[in-house]
Amino acid sequence: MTVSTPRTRANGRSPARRGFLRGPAPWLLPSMAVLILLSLYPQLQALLNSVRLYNLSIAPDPLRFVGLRNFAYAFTDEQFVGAIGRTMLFAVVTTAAELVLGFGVAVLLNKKLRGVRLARSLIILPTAIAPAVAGLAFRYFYQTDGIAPALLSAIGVTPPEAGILGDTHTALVGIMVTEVWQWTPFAALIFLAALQGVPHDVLEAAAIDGASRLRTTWSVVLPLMRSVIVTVVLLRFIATVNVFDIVYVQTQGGPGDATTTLGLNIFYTGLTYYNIGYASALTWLVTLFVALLINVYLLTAGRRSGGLS
Amino acid sequence: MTARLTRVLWHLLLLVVVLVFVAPIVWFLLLAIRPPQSGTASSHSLLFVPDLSALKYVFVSPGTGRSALWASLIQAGGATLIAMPLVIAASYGLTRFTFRGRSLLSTWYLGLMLAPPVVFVLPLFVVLSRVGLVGGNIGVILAFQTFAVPLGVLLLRGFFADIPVEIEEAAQVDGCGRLRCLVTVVLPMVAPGLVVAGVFVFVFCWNNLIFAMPMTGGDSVPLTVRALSFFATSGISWNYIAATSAVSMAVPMLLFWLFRRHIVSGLTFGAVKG
Repeated sequence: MTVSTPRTRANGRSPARRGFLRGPAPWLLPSMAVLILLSLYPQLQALLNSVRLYNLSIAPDPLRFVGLRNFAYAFTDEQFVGAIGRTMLFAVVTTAAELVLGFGVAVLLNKKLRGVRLARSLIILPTAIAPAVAGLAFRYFYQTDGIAPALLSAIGVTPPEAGILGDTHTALVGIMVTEVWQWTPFAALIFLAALQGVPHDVLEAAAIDGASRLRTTWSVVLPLMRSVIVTVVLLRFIATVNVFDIVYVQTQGGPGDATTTLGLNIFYTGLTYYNIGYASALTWLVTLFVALLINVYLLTAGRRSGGLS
Repeated sequence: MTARLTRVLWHLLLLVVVLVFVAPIVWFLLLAIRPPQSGTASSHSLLFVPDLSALKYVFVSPGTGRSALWASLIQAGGATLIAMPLVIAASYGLTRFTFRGRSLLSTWYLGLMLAPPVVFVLPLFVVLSRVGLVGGNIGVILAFQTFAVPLGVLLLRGFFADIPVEIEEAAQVDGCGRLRCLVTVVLPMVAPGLVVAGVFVFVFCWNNLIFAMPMTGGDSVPLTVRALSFFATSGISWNYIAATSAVSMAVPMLLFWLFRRHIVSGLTFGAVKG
């Protein structure tokens, strides 16, 4: 290869133009511009609206500056505080269930069994479909004359009279089951990839040292998978805090507000009751909370291999 | 003997696990071709004569779901086509240059992927409705960019990073400009990455409900939102819901099946390699 700068000059392109593409700016600015316009600008607008009395059902324009009153109100708003509690319960239970079940399924899929490759491919299907569609499917199963109550009766459990999603005690559980069904394969596939990455000689060494299979999993495999487990927990926890579609299509937050999670609470406040000012304050509270979660994650695990960012 | 028994039990367990995750999909798909049930007596029987009338009603005549299918294709396809050039340029910029604020930029993109969608929907709805872009395809395609671009960048960036810079430098020494070098040397080498990023961006848009619901209306209502329209006060038309959902499901299931080796990396936004 020879250095042939004269040839490029002969191309007729001005050196200034080539120089333009030499820096990072022209490559990064287009996407940044789009995201600034479509996400940063609306969010800053929301910050502005969060300190205003701005309700589209009262007036088309912001009425007046109210300081931090919208934020202060949030903490005394029973519906918002209630939604936080439900969302946390939903996120903790589903994340824990997906973690444990996902690990179990991964161990199973890591065994040398006939048809295991086909099983691995089939099991991803729930994660492919829209959460809205998964929600609709389970809403159909949960109907009073659906398959789910029939199966429950068959094993001796009396299904609630108002239907699984119609009863305030079971509605959230029903949605949790849908969520866990859809995303356990996700955890399983990631754990499977990590299990396959555990070096064979490490396992052999443990076996030679007389460690039982359970003991090897607990003291050798799990520590090796630490960063992957942290990644799955954080991704699923954040995703379940953000849950919307799957709840909206199954119950719209009902019965009453038994399944109204944060996403639905804010969605209704802004897009049903058109209380833009208050809803904007709520979006910022949630943004700050999720930003905190992301930062905790980046600080604790992100620097290690296999982490995000 | 016991070893053989445990092997049988493991296979049985595998079968049960597969059934748990696949049967609900099949059961719901079957609803689309079940004969309409009389009254409330739902049948759980697997023996029935397939009835295509629900699919026909939704997609042929009167075919209210046909415009929804088009809307889904236009919105997910359009959003992907707009996002990809931005994604390619950003991935190139993030992997080929070192500059101040590079990790901050990556963190911002990650934050956009992880932030609750409702946080974007509401402010974006306020802004887009003011410029008259709510209720058509354009508004929702723009709204999709808020996650399409960061998702694409997080996925494609890894593929770009795997290409040795020396190859490009050699081409540049030979007189290849950066842009031409990208198009003729780098892009062919990251072709699998382009496909993976494109597929995931497309599926995420295709499956979306929360942005599509407030931003679309009339003919621009996509399949996920259309399925909800069959919950009428007069009763729920489950056959029509299932028919609409069946078409909505088919596309991402097919794509995930074809790209199953990349699912793990795609769903973790590139954090875990499959």
